[in-house]
This record gives sequence, C-alpha cells and structure tokens, in this order.
Amino acid sequence: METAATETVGNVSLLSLPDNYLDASNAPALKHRVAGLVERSARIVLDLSHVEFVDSSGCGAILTCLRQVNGVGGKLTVFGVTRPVRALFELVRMNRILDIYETREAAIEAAER
Amino acid sequence: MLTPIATSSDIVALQEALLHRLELLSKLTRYAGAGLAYAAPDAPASWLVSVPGCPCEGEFVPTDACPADMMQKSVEVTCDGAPAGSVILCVPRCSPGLLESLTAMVGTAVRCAELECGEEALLSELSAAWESLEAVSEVSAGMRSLEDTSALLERIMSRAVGNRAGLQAVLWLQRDGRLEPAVTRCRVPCEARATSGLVGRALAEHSGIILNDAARIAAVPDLEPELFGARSVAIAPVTTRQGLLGALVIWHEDENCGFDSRTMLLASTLALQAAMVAENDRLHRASLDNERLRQEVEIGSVIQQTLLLGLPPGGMRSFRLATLAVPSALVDGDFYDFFRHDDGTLDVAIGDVMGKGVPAALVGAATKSQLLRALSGLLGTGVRLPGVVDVISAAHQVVVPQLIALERFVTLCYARFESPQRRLTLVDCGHTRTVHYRSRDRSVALLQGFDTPLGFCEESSYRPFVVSFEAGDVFFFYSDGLTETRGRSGEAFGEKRLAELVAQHGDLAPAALVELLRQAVVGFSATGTFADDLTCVAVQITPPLQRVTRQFDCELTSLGAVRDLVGEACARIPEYRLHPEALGCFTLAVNEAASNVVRHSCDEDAKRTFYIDCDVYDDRVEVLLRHRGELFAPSPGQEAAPTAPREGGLGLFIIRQFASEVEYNVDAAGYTYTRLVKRFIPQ
Repeated sequence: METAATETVGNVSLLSLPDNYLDASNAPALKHRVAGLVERSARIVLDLSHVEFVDSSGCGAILTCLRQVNGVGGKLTVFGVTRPVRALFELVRMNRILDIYETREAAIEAAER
Repeated sequence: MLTPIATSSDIVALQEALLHRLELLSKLTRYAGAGLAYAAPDAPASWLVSVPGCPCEGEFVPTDACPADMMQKSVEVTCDGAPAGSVILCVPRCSPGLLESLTAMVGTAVRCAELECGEEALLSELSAAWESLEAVSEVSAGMRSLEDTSALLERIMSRAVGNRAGLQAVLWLQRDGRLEPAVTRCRVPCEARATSGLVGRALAEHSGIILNDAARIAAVPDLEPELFGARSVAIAPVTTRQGLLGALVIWHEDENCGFDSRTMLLASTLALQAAMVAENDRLHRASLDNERLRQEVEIGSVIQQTLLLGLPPGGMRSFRLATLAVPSALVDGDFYDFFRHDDGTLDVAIGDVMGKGVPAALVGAATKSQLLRALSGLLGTGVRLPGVVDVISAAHQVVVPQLIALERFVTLCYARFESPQRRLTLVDCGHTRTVHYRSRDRSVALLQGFDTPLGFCEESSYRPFVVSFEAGDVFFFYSDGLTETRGRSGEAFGEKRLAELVAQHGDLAPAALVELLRQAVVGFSATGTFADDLTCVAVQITPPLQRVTRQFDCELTSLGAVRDLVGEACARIPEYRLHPEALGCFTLAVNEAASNVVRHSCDEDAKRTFYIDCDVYDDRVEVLLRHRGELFAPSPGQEAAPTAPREGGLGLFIIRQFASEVEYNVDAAGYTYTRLVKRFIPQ
C-alpha cells in the first residue's frame, strides 16, 4: 500500500486510501496505519472515494480498524464509498455497524461528536 | 449350333428333276446315235439311253472299256454344293461336234434341275421358318398375357407336338445336376434322372440331334425309356446366357415319319422360347429374392436407427457431439448411445457385436438396452451418479450369460465425461482404441483399456482408467468397420491413418471432422461400399470462445493481476448479457478464491505458483484456479451468510454468493482446483 495521506482536521484524523483497491495485499497496511493513528487520535475518518474494489480482507481490515477505535472510545466514519464497495458492505452487513457518509464534511462532523 | 444332318431326300428330289429333264433329251440323243447314262454317288452308272448296236448296249461300261469308235464325257451334278452323281454322254468318236452340243444341252438340263431343287429347298426352308415364326409369335403372345410359367411351357409343348399326329415330346430342365421333366407330352411317364442317354449326348455336345434310324436310336447307350420305340428323334438344347438349362426332345414312333431340318428348326425355336420362359422365371424369382433381401436390409436399417443408434442429447454446452453410421450391405450389430446426467455429466457407450445379420443387430440392441436399464436401475436406488464400473457390471449380470449361450461377444467402450473435473473415465472391453486429440499441442493419443469383450468369460471385474481433458479436446470412438475398410490394393485404412487425420483436423467442429473422415474412408475404399458398418462418435469438449491462461506467483500482490485477467477475458461480453456490476461481483469471487489459494493452499515446498484459465463461452465464464497443494473443501456452514459483521471468513461466502457454480476438487493430473462459473444471458 502506498503511503496513506493523513490530514488532521481539528481533532479528527482523515486518512485517504491511495490505492483504488483494498484487498488482502494492502489490507494489513491499512490496519497497521490506523493502529498508529489511534495512539494519537481516536477520531478517524476514512476516505474511500478512490477505492473501486474491496474484498473480504479489505472489509475485515476496516472492521478491525473500527473495533480498535471503538476500543479506545473513539469514532470512525467513512465517506466516498463507491457503488460496488457499498454493495459489498451491504452484503456482509458492514453497513449496520459502519457509519457511512456521503460527504467528507458530514463524515468529519460525525467523527468529531 | 446345329449339326446339319445329311439326308438322301434332297438328292432323290434332284435325281427326279434331272431325269425328268433328261427324258426330254433322250429322243434327241437316241436320234443322234448317242447314249446317255446317270451315275448316282458311289454307285455304278446305268443307261438312260443306250447306243444302238454298241457292244455295251446292254450294260454301261466305263470309259476304259468303251469301244474304240466311241467316246464318253461326263457332266458332274451337285446338290447344294455336294456331289450328287454325274451324267455321262457316249457319242461316236467321228462326231465331236455332236458331243459338244449334247454336252452343252446336258449341262443346261443339269443346271436347271439343280436350280429347281434349290428353289424347292428354299421354299421348304421358308415354310419351316414360317412355322417357327408362327411358334414364336404364338408363344410370345402367351408370354405377354400368361403370367404362369407352367402355362407358358405347356403352350410351347403343345406347339411342339401340334404339327403332326403321333408326335411326342418332353421338356427336360436341369436342377441340381439332374434332369427333371418340366412338361411332358408322351405316352409313358417320365421321371427325374441323371443326365445320360441321347439327351445327355446332346447336352454334352451343346448341339441339336436328329436321328431317323430306329436301329441307331435303339443302339444309344442308356437310352431314355420313353424313346425305346422311337423311329425319329429330334433334340434341341435349351440354352440361355446362364448356360444349358435342359433340352426339348420330340420323337415319333411311326415308320414313315422322318424328321428333317425343318423339324430341327422348329424344335430349336421352341427350345429358345422355353429358355426365355425359364430365364424369365429365374429372373422373377431372383427379383423376389432381391426384394426379400432389400426388405431385410430395410428392417435392419430400421433396427439400427431405432434400436441400435441413440440420439445425441441436445443442448449440451460442455460437449459437442457428432455421429456417423454408414450401413453396409448387410445388417450389422454396431450400436451407440448417450446418457446425459442431471449434473451435465455425459456417458457415451459404443459397441460392436461379433457377427452380422439381424441376430447381431438384435444382440446389439439388447446389450444397449441392458446398459440403459442398468444405469436406470442404479439411479433408482438414489445414487446420484452410478460408477461406470457399476453400470457395466450390472449389465454384465444380465447380458453375459445370454451372450455365452449364444456364442457371441460384444466389444464395448463406455466413457464418462465429467466436464467440471475435466475427466474422462473409460472402461474399454476390447473395443477399438479411442483416439484422443489434445487441442493444447495438437497431438493424439490412442486410449486402450484392460478388459475383454462382454461374453468372453463370466468374470465381471472391470477396470476403469481415467484421462484428463481440456476444452477443445476431441475423443473419437469408432467401430472396426472404419479402420478395416480395404483400399484398392487390399490394405486396410488402419488406425494410424485415422489418428493422423484426427491430429490434422482435430480443431474442426465434430460434425465437420466426422464428415471429413467419412469422405477419406469412402475415397480410400476400393468400391465405395463397405463390407462392415462404419460407425463412429466424436465428442469434443466445447472450446471456449475466448481463453486467457496465466501463471501467477503465490503472492497476495498477484491479486490485482488476477482481477485484470478476468476483466481482460470478459471485455467482449456485451453489457446487456453480463452487466458490469455482475461482472464486478464475479471478479470479486475470483479474487477471493485466488486469495484463499495464496494464503491457505499453496504448498510451501512446491514451486510457488498457481494457474488460472479463464474461458468465456456463449453462456458463461469459467475460471479455473489450479495449484499444487491440499484440497480445501469448505463446509456449507463456512459459506453461509454472516449474521453479523466479522473480520475474517467472508471469502467463502462471497464466492458462493457471486458465482453461479463453485467446485473444489482435484483433477486427473493431480492439481487441486477451484472452479467458478458465472452464467449469463446466452447469445
């Protein structure tokens, strides 16, 4: 996984996934990156707007990140979910526990609360 | 060819005519003081007019005894070119002019007599010809109106004895080396007998006979009993292009009833008519026999089409089939049939019964029927797919005792095609070797099993063998009628020639391949016809419209290339048939399968690669992931939909969700494989 660009907006860390896919090859890198961020800030927003493809490992990585953030009382939101990725999230019930927003601002605002 | 029978009647007639003419000359001769004598052939001359006062006036003397003052001159007489005696003039030596004049006059008288007799002979011949023509006309008219051969022969015989009272006749026809009386017109009964006697002589010489001498007739060795009292006999052989059929014998027991050439001509004409009637009868019977044979072949053909030759199942997307059945002149026992299972597995059975004819066809039909019954019976027990050996063994229990009792045997090849496993399971019971065309390298292999034909022995242990195949491969099954077809120089078409042709043209559609082979065999055949049935079945593993094959390193970083491969292979499928979202989902399923292969199944000790074939067909995409490693077959629970989000174990669920068919197995080559199929709207 290329180095994920991290932007800080207030107390929220906004992480943009650089690849257009999130699969078994780069999922561990995402988990590792989020684990590092959680140590500094438990409010994280994932920007998936470039991601066209997510597989089960990608879903698992996002879920791991969510549990890490929740474990420290933080908040993780996502935005920019493309149609095929949303379909997968719905298939594996990710949409039930993952806060998905249409816009960057909404995702940041939700993470701040 | 008739041998002319010399008779003296013609010469007697000539003599009578000549003497009549010489009678006119006698007065002139006497007046001139000359003499006139006639010498019949091989007989001494006698005076017609003797020379008055000559020392030999009482009895004619030849020239060397003639008085010195007399001289002789003879004029030869001929009858139809044969010597018929001579007329001798005896004139005083002192009158040479008289000799010359009388000689001219006698010569004229002789020529006139000869011409008169010739004319008589011609009239007689014309009369005989007319009789024959009448006979031909009468019998021919009967041939048109009468269908019954016996009636026609009766009519001929009536004509043979109708010219004169007292004539008797028998028409003899040969059958199995003996003479049988076909029609008789005689006073004593005639029975079948060996060829001997006077008739035997005529048949041996292939010629007609006329005998007008009772003593000579009675002297013939082994004379036929009915001819014991005959005084004249005429025999005309009955001959056709097929050879001698028999003879027409006509005889008379009256003393004053000699036969002549006219009798012979009539007899020969009637014999010819009898030959035509007999030949027509033979042809009619042959025609009936041919019709019976044709009907038998037709029945055999119906048996073959309905009982022996199964119809290839339609709508099979995994296999393309073509068959060929060229019947020989005789009914044969070649058979084939197809059994399509619910899961798309295809069974093909092809067999050949030893022997020919309707019995062989019925044995073939019974064997095929028992195979089908055995398969149905096993399916009825709840077995999803009975084993090939089980099917043959079940059929064996019923068929083999019957075959042994009938002293027949059946060669059989039972093949099972399992498309998902890319596996052919074959039991070969002494059948011709199956040609396997491998599309990958365009090579052929000849497949031979282990078992003996059904009916050889009561033992029923059959051994299958397994061959892997790929899309585009062809399996060519055939009967020995194909390879044993003989060419112009007598050599067989042969297995090698067949295998070479399949290797050259294996990429053709099965129907085209079969037609090409048919033409090759017909062209090779010396006669264009076959002594044995020519039966074959070609099964092609349907080749994909497009295939993309690639090897990958067992690394998670290969997943992107895996997804690209699917996209590349499916790029030409129109969106209305496979929606991009559906393709994306299927790509995800393939990605999950590849991810599992990399993470769980790649053998650490093996070369760390895996293979993917992505085949696009008219109605589906098939992706086959192969690798060396342990088989992982998930349980249904592992593929179930998650009730709540979880971090792992979703891949199997996704695969099952987005692929139309999923299979985890090991192929014949030992590769563990995962096969994913995505069906879409066919063209």
